[in-house]
Amino acid sequence: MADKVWTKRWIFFLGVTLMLALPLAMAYFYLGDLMSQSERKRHQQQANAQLNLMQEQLYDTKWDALADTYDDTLHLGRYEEARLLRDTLMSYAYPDGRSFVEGIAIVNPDGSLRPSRLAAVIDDQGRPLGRKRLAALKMDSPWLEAPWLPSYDFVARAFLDNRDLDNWISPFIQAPGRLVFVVASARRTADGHLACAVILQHSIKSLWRNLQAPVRGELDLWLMDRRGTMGLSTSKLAAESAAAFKALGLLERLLQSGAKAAGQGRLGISGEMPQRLGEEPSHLAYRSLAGDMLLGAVTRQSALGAQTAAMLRYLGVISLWALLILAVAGAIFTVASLREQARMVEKDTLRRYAGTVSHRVRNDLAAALGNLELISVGRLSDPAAIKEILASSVNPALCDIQATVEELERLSRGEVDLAKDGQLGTDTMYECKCDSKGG
Amino acid sequence: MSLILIVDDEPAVLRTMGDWLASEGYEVAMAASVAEARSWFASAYKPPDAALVDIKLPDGNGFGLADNLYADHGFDRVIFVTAFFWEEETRRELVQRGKPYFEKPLKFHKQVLPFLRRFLNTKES
Repeated sequence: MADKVWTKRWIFFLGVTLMLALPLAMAYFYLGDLMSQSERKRHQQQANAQLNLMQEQLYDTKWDALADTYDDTLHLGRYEEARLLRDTLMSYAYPDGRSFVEGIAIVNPDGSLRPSRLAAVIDDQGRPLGRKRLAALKMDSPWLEAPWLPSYDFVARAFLDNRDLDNWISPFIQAPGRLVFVVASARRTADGHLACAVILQHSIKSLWRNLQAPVRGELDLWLMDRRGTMGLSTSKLAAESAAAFKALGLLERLLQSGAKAAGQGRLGISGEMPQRLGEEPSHLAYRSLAGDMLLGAVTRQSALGAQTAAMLRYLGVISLWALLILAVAGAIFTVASLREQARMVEKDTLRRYAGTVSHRVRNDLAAALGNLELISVGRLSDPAAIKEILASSVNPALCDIQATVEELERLSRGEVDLAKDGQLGTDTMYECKCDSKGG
Repeated sequence: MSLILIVDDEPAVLRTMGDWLASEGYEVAMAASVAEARSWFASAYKPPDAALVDIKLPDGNGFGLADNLYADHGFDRVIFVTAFFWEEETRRELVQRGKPYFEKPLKFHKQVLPFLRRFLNTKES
């Protein structure tokens, strides 16, 4: 009986704990999923917005440069070359004198540079930089005063090979200590022969530092030209992503689509794809600068919703603690309740036993006292009859009372225990019904 | 001579009560259970003038027996005897029924016999 109660109480406790834990766990996982999805979506929208901005900046950079170089080709012969180039370079020079354009020059059809070439060592007023400023900049960019490549034959070759080509952006070129690219516009004779080309030479590093980095945010970015040369990767993850993307062999096709999109008046193409970097799923979003470059932003799935995940972890820990406290409280209550029940059972057992003893003694007394009263009032005077009464009735009653007292003493000494039905274990000399209806 | 039925499952008590009533000149019948009492009633040549009925019996209780006797034979001259007057349930039932009762151990000379005489006289009058 006691075991049954014990089992029932603990099953109840476990049931209640589970009923609390299950909705909590379901809510935790459901809300967690909901919040993660929401944050992922928000993060992706943010990343897309940043990428769009960077795509626009690349586009502006390209067309500003092309507009200037093309404009210069139109003015060549009408202005003093060095001044023309200086005025163009000044429009790219930032107030601190650090231009992302390394230099401007005119390339002859044989690939040589004209003496009018200018490196980006002027300030925004067109004046040469101060010695200290120049020295400080040269610590970071030693080629600043002479940024020129060994040969610009590749520019001339591009225009010579394609007589319809007026403007051109080179792939990324490895120059000493840095990566550059050249934006060029051709000046042609009336019969289409290349007279010369005006070039603006950009440093990828400066382009990144001055234009792209400020809007990078937390994105892991990479930039790749149409030949697959990596312009930059801002992290190990970005480098892995770029390598994985390049291995897919999609670059050429995507940039062809980018060129086509640019022909239709758009900045380029945009897209996204899942990637698996290492063992972890990632997400790559990309934008092209027409058909010239591709800018990629990669994000680990685990990083998406990281804030939510952290919040969920806290929530989970708090919930677990709350559940634990509830479970402990429930366990304490169950133990207390079982102990209380045990006390009640003991009390009830004692009550039953007291009733048993009382009944027993009262009946014994009824027989003994009744017979003694018979004798005392003279209703029984025959010695033989008195002897017989004493032997058959009074004596057994007194023996029974004595046995009852001894039983109580054994009980008080702890030699026997009360059974739950109010009997004295298996040693009782008296039968007692549990339902108190019997006698 | 009045006939008294005694119903009690304790043989010693049954015998003592029988001795007392016999010494007083009453005709005595005895039963040790509800079944015995009902059986005696069914075969008795006349109903008793009074019945001393113990409340706790092995096969039922005195209250139930009193109800049966009243229902079957219209007999309501019952005096209850109990060692369980301390028990709330028994005490409440006794008070509700409004029937006479004695608590064990009985005081025959001073309480039971004087009351029984008055009780029987009430019937005769």
